[in-house]
Amino acid sequence: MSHLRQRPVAAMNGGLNGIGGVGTPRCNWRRSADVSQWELATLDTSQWRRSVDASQWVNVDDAPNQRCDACELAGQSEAEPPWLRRATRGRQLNSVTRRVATAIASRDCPRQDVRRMFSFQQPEQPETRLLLNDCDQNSNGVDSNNGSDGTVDSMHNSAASSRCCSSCVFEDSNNNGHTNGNGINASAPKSADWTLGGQCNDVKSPDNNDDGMGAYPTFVLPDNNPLGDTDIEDLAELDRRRVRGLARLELTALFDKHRCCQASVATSNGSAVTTKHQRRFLRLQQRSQTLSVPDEDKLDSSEPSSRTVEAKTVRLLRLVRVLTERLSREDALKTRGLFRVCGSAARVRAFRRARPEVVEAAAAASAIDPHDASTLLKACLRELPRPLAVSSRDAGRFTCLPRICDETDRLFGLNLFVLLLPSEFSSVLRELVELLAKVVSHRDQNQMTLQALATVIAPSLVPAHSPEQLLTDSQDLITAVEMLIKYRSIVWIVPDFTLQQIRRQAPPSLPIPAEAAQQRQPHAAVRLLRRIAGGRQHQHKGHLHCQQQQQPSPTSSPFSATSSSLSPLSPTAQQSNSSIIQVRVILTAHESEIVKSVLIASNTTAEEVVRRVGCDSNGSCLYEVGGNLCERRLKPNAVVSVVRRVNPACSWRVK
Amino acid sequence: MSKSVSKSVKPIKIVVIGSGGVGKSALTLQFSKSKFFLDYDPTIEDSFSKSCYIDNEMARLDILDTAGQEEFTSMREQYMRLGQAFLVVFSVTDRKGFEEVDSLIQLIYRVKDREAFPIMVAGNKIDLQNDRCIDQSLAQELVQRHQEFNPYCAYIETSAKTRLNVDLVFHDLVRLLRLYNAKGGSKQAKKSKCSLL
Repeated sequence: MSHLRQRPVAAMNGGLNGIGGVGTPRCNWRRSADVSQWELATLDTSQWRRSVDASQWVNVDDAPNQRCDACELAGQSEAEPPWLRRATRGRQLNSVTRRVATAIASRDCPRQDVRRMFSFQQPEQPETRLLLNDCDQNSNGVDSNNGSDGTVDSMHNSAASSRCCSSCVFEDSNNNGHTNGNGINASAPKSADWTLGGQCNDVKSPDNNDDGMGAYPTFVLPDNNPLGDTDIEDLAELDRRRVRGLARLELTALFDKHRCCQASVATSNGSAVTTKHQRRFLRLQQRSQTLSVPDEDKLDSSEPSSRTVEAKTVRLLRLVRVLTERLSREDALKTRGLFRVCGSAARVRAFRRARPEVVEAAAAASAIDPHDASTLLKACLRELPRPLAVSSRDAGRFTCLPRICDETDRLFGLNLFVLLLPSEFSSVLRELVELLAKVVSHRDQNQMTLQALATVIAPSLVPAHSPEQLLTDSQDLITAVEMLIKYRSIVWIVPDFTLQQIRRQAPPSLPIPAEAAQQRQPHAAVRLLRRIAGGRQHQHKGHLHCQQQQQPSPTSSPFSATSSSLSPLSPTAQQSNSSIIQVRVILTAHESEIVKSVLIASNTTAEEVVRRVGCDSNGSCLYEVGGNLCERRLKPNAVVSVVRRVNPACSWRVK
Repeated sequence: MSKSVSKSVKPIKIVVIGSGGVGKSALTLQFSKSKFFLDYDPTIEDSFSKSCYIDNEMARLDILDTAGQEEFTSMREQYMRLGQAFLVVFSVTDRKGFEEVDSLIQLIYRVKDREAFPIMVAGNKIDLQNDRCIDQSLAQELVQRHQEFNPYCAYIETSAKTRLNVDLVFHDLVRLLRLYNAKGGSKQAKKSKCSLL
């Protein structure tokens, strides 16, 4: 029995080391519920799960050395085990667990991939990894980590280093050697990573102490990322959903690592990955909360069916957007005490009763007083069925985010919270945060410092459950909101290792989003025109060497004729410095498409491609479509050849 | 002995309420610490205590400085239930804050379930004469309307910056409370005794 007991723990330990980057855990006691979650994620034998469930408490100390066994066994399973099949069919697992479990069990997932799911970089040569070049090695098919099982520490270091460099770079190298609440010293390699991060960051951002952003350390994104930073809004909805799944896992790991937060987390609905039972309970709880709100404060007092709630959300978000736009104007920004001074109660009430179109018209004409607009904006935020900044069940964790001692992890946590947001909430929150930053930048005129602004806006962004909570948690909440404003340029960026994981986990045939599917079957006339246009532009079509695919991408199917006429990808073409890509230019004005081929060198950026295609004037961007991602908008500085190496099956579009 | 002392200086709970950014904290800090702070930080909830002699009688004031923003209204009823006397502040340069005074006073009556209660209305920032948009007569009128049924209501103009009438406003409030306790409060005490028996 003891033998059986140790294994899942070891697996969990390994998994956590990868995700949360925990060092050698010292006296870590974990609840069996957590263990079974992780055990689901890492293991595939129901026998182990049962044994863990049977034991109430499990000591992690027992078995750090057995992690490898667990990994091995996790990798050994070739086919989907029957229990998992049953569970997935019956939708017993939540989406995250199911995805991970399926990925482990799927046939084409070799052993090291299972581990990679939790460790983002291979242990060797962290210096080169800092430049985010590991995509090169992956595409070359050389995986030097195949045979060797890295030790716990090296795994941890690599995970930490990857996180440091891919999500952000810590500038302040004096801050080494933090102690987190658990008493685990931040390991030495980690602090070394920060200085390495400093080296890799060539252009340091100006010291932000004078921007009114408080005493927070300045993080900057490395600006030499050849893949280009990926904004969450650059991804298609399907990819975003996958990002969310991973973010939830990461979040759980992060809060497991920083156990200082556990007490408050326990009070606020347990772990981030919730069971079905918990979710049902939460739903009931939320419903009772919405019902307890007095009806006069609601825009509509009808039964809160899901459809009305959705309609209400859409309307309120639209209103928030309109008001944000109104307040972004110069005259509003200079208003003294914006967001602090209340608006006229009578006028605000009138606007709340009015139809949204009326408010929009008034806002567009600047007919709303800035104070009224800010009061109305805050009222709308509070009225939303779920808080704007964080979902209700994560609110507790969001509040204890500032209690994480390690700055990098704190920022990472904030990043994860933002990534977890539904798309529409995410974009509205972003606009709002941009507005708040603008307000802070005008603080000489409007007197609203970062702290003042965060104090007044925080209860609207994350409404408290009770007055007592409002009072006790307010400081942490304010800090979290301040961080959101301060790090607004970082927290909407998807960390590279998350994106890498998504690329690795990509199913062989990725479902195509609805709009892409429509584009696949254009009108016959359009197709003909396009072929004519394409033929005119590619006089030397026969010389094309590189229509990418090793496996046909589903999105490139309308061009199967073109693709088949191309010579297959030869190894020499792959290694040569320059190659040609086919870029599909979508002209929304004429609802037509043009295919152009572009010669790219090893350092051609997305911006150059767009310019060569002749679309740089109207703000078009290059997209990588298909392959192992649904769709991703490339930043202008992304190097196309590197992206192609990461996603060889993708097709290119300019929109 | 100690009992009698503690009885004589039983703290008086004063709650300062008003719209956002009208100078509640400035007024409170000027009274309790004799300082005018220039920083513009919104309050969530602060409390101060100060002992002073008012009409040759020792008084210990527990002053609760509250948030004016609407977001924090959920806390409002709680502290209103605990308060023994209220200082309703508005800014003479801010019309919206003044509009809220009436509803705040009504809310006090409702929470306290009384027709009369010691309430002091303070028109703050009168040093900013140029920006003034609320006349003294306007405020007086409002208070007089309340005085018809609540004799423990008064209006004073203050300036936290120049410390004009700052002590007076708190002292007068304590006087109103004493008056209230001497008349209405004594009846109450008897009542509570009866209910205990």
